[in-house]
Amino acid sequence: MTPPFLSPIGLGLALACSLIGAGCGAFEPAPEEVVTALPDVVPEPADNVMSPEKVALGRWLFWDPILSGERDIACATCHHPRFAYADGIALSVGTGGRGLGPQRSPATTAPHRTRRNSMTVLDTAWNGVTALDSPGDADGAPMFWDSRLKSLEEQALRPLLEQDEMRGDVLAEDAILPEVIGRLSAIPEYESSFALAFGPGPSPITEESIGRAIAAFERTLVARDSSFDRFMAGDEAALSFAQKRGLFAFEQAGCANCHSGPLFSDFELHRLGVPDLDGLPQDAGDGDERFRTPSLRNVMRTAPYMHNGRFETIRDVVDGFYFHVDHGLDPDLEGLDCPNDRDGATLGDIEAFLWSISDGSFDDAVPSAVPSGLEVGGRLD
Amino acid sequence: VPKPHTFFGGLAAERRSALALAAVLGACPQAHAEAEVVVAAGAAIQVLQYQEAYGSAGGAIDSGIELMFRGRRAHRLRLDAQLVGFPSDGAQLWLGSLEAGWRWYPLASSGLHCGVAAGLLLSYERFELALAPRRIEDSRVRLGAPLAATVGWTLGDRLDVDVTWKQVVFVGDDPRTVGYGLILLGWRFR
Repeated sequence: MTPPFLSPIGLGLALACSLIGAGCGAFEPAPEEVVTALPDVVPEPADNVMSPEKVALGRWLFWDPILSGERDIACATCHHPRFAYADGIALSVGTGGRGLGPQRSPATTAPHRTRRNSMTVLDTAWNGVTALDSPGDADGAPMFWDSRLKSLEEQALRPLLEQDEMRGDVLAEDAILPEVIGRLSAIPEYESSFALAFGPGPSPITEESIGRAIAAFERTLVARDSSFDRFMAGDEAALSFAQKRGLFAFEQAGCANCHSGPLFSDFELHRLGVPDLDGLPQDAGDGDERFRTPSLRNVMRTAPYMHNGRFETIRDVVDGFYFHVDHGLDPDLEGLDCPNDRDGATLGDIEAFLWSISDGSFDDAVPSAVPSGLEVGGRLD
Repeated sequence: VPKPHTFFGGLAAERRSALALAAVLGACPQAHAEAEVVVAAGAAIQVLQYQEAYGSAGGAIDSGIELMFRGRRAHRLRLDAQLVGFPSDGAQLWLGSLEAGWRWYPLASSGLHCGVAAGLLLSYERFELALAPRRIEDSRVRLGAPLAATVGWTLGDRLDVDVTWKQVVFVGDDPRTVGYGLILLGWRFR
């Protein structure tokens, strides 16, 4: 008779035991590929400490089209709370456009279409922060798709200078800021607000103070009550089974190779070879065809995706990574193991997880009026 | 009346129960007193998980009873209890099933057989992710219905080599399928 340990039962039990043992360990990603909750503290530069006066002034400036060359577009036009402070279209329509989001269209004058997708302003206060315990560097925070500027203060002024964004055709690049300063100085409400925010002086309205006020307001545009953050703080019920499984799949598939840390971004430049839009010239990114890893915070509210808005859905993005992107272009792409079924459950669970970091708790208040008396947010109707 | 045959004690009782079941069912008009207990172990390859191409390897153990009800080597009722496990890095999927099926032995001189089966299945799914300092783990149990098709060969009247494809449909709010192939080596006790 066959000895029991050599019988199929014995072998089966041995196999079962080895299976149980093999499946006991946790999946443990590398420390630099771990996602975390948002930090408690918003970093701010030493020379631009937040104050309620600055934030209130920054909110006006953010919504006031007086900052644009032709007084028809504001920061909020392409960074609107209805679209989680992005604009919901592939390439933004700058000055000369009319309407909001996907309904924005050419007006009477020729509109300017920007070259890149509008990034959300939400949570940019933490740009550059790649670890929960990192203090952050507000002065060195990378901005824009190509990280060409550092800090919200620098970023806030740049769209004013761009012809296809806010400057338009009438004013030269070196003329727009003096013109804006002149306009603001002529409005008593702005004059007193700048004095309140930055102290009385001979000329409180400057390029720097405009940038600082807008940056101070942008630092308040945070969404820090996501179910993922609550889960990481200890609320076990904050995530569903599908969301937890989505997080597991997110880490296992290698998404966190680049989308790591509290902002789900390593804030590094990567070359992905995302196809250009039909009929548009190639975008060389930082000059070497590299673009910064965007944060995935609020990603489900900020479609379309990639630097040119090429992909309309997360499933399109995954399809793009799986089928269209050359994984040899960037070292971080080599370890990708994307779900390869665009209708599959794993992708559905990853989407469910991404909803857990897409938090609707941000400040979505729209001012009823701005000191210039112009249309709040530009020509949005 | 079959001679008592024992293996691990319990198997004899299991065989007697099977004979009693056959008598109750009345499905054995020729009243054969042959019931075979088949114990098997083998490998499993998960091809689909929730409708997605997957490809993880696992293992399986199976205990079954075959009851003849029309001829020595023709048609048989097969009852199976089976456990299949798919472990991977940080995750496990276990599938335990009870199935009833039909087996057909077309050639009297050969152990060639094929069959189909269906039943009830419980799946246990668990994953664990270490995101320092937070450890994330969760599990769930779901009810499903397995459908299986098997071809195989019985060698020397004792050793079974079976290849099975099994498709599991889950009930509830997540009705997604799992599909896997099984290669089982079994031993028959009479």
